Amino acid sequence: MRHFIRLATLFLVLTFGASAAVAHAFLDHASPRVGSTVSGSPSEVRLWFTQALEPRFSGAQLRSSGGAVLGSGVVDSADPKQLVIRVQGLKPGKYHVSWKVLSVDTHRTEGSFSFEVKP
Amino acid sequence: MTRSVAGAAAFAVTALVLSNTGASAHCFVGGRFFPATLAIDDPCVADELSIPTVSWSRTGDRPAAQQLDISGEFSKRITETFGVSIAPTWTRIAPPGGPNQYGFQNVESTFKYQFLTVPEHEFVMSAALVVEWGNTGAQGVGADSFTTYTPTLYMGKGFGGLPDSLSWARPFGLTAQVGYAIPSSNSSVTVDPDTGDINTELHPHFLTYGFSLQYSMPYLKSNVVDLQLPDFVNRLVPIVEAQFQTPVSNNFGTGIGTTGTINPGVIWVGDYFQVGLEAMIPINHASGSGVGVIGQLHLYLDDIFPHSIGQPLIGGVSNPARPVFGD
Repeated sequence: MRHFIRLATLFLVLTFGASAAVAHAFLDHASPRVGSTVSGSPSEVRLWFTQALEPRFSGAQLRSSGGAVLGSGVVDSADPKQLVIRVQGLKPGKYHVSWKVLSVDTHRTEGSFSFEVKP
Repeated sequence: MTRSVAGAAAFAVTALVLSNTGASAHCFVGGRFFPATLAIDDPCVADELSIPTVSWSRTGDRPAAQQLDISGEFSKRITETFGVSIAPTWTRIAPPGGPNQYGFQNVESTFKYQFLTVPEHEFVMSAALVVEWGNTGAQGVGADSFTTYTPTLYMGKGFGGLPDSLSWARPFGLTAQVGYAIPSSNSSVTVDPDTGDINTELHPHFLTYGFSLQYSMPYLKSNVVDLQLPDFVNRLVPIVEAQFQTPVSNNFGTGIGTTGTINPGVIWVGDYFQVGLEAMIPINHASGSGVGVIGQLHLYLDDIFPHSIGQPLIGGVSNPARPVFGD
């Protein structure tokens, strides 16, 4: 199916003569996973996007269930498709991640999700 | 005059080529994406191309004729919040025993202004004037000889703000539209060539309305819970659309009542295009005979051409800024 999708996309892009097309950046996956429960504190929250991000205009924030800001995310210098929030010693509880990014073709997207830490 | 036109053209071309600022384009409202819908219009302005949209159905005539519609729609943002679109439709009507009728419907154009966008509540509203231009289509396929103006209001609302206990329902989104169709003339008079009888046909005013209820698997995956489903499934938006027309004035004795269809289906959302397929279930016999089908290929021009025709013609869009997160 992926091959079909790639071929169809290539066909459409070539047919309509687009210049280097880069789409909106969607959240592909995250660690901890969106909506998941993990045992023990993770050392970081990492978000993978479908497109490369503009580091100056992309960010993320980690909050506790009480609303306290626990960390901010930056684009990983080694991979511009990733945002990373360094964390340490998250206590058991629910946490909320918000992200707002600008893909390299200047499209904005945003979203948020939660995960839970158990002892 | 020539100079001012040349200046305006130069400005438009320069804006087209150089504009390169932060854009949202197709219907993103906060974390919500409203895909382009098939039966009703989505609540945003965008740079997009639906080509083709193909529908097949049986008319409400007795006996029923088969109707095939093939249409396209090109939508272009003039500014970030104001856009125009144009939509021609080719129709073939095949009654049992023939002869077939075919030709273009009247050309339809839409002038839409997205006047309210509230990202944190996934809420958006637009207002538009939809114009069906009279005498631009073939009367054999039902194109009217008069122009119809339909002021229309659109809205979209995502349910991402529901509490944790209802998190499964957060991927739901609702879009709706309501319009009032005003014909440019109240009636038309025809003379029967055989009998010489004079017939007067009233042109009713219609209330046009519809909605879509959609469940976004992309939203479920990236905002609620990642169930690690196959990528194809994570890009689906199951949807039910409904669209109706009810005559509200100037319809005395016409025998015209409410017509419409309810369309269950699914939209697959890709990075550069989407594909939609829906059944069309008529709400009564006047709306059709049996279940029809509609399919659409829809291209996101803002993603395919991010630095040229995928940008608003005038003014670009608001400058990108460092992300600010609410308290």
